[in-house]
Amino acid sequence: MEPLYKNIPCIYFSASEDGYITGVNESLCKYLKYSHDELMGQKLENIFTLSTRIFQQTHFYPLLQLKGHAEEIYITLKSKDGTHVPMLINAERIEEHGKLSFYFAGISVSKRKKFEDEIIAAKNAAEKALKENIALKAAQKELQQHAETLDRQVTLSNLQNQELRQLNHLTTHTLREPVRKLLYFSSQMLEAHQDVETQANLLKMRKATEDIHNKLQGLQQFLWLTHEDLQIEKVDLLDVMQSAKQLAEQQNAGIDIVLDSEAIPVIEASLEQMRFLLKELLLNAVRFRKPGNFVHVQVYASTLQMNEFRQLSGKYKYAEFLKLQILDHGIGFDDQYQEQAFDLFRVLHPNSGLGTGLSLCKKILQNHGGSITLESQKSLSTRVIIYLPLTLDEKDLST
Amino acid sequence: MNSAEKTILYVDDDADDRELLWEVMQKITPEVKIIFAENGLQALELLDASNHVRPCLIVLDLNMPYLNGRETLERLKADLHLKNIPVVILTSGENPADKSFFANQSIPYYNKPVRLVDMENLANDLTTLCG
Repeated sequence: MEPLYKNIPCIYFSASEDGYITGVNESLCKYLKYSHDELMGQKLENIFTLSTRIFQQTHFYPLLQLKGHAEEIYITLKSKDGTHVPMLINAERIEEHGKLSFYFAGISVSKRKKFEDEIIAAKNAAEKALKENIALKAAQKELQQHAETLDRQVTLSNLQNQELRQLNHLTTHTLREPVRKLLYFSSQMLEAHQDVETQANLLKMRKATEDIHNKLQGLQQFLWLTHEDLQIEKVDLLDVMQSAKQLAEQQNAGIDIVLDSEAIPVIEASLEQMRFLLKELLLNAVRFRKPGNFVHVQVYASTLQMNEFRQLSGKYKYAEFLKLQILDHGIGFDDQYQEQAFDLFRVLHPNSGLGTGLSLCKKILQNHGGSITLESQKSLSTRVIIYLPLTLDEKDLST
Repeated sequence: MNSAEKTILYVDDDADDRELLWEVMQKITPEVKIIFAENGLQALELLDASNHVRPCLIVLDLNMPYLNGRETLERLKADLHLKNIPVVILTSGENPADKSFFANQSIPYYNKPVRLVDMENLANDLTTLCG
């Protein structure tokens, strides 16, 4: 062995054509933990790992046979204790004295392998992060699209709301004004024309105009209940009921209303709307009384826990409700048609007023997160059952 | 001040309504003068100190362009020279919230009459409110 390459900082070994080691340098011995003598004459395969053996037979040797040399070949050698030592080697096939020999020289790349592994791990991590980033970006994009859709819908809904308000103004004010004037002028004409036939025709005209006027008024009240913000305060319903009784008696001269009521707990509500509600209900008791001028109304009050969720099944939020029952002993009605009684302008009985009263009551209850139903027996009585929450949060309100 | 000097300012954008009240007041209380403004802005201009117009009563419609009834009332009440002139509301609106708003301020609230007889009663009321 030439001293020059004996301790040179790279590995060197040679082999005969039939695969026996014919020379090694000290550097290789150190890497593989063999002595020089242990390696000499060994089969080359003994220091190759399994994968290197396969690679040697399928690629490495055929390349050397064909071209006579191979550069930068990555192989793994196996040391005496079985550890793997990655190497990068060049090889030459040389013919000397009619015999073929193979010469190998290379360097250990175990550190480089470590770096490579780290690079691959980093690359994998980067790819993973990229994938996650892509998923995140997709989610962001979806969110953005949802936000845009929502924004468009809100804009559209605001526009429609604005149009609806204009339409409301049209029906309740713009249309009502000329109708009011028609009424006024017809009353002027009735004063001026005294002959019977003209008077009769004018009266018919005036009645039709009054009808439109009243219906527009009903509509105006309905829209008021739909759009006006609730002014919530503590309301004593018994107090309101007493005032409603006085108003109903004033509007129906000669009628005597007797009101028997239990104590009613104070609730949070719109005083304005509670006045409207109880007045309408008492007026109905007056309208649908039995023949005579006496109206007897009994009021029962109790509290109970009720679920605030009406539409969603499986959702529960219990709150304290007032159950108010207003019972009259009037002419009653067939309550299988009660849904119709709550329709706007539905007139079920000739004594009915405009046909707006109960639909307005229903609207008021909806505004307060409550409900109203009727139980009636023809010729006997009508019981109005109202549920109202005892307390109200701003967020609970529908308007 | 005798009744011959009484002047009512009626603020309403509706020409028919202005004419109707004028006609009835001419008939019922011809001694009371009635002057008009078509909206709140015009009314405030008319009441500007330099014009020396001091009505005994201001009759306000609610639904008017530029400055509606509520806004006009706010400006009147904020003006030292005008805040003591009595005001009544005369409107076709029936919003209960409006009614209680003005009731809380002790301001009379009238719905525009649909019968001649009610218009005559209104003319009498307005003359009485003029003091």
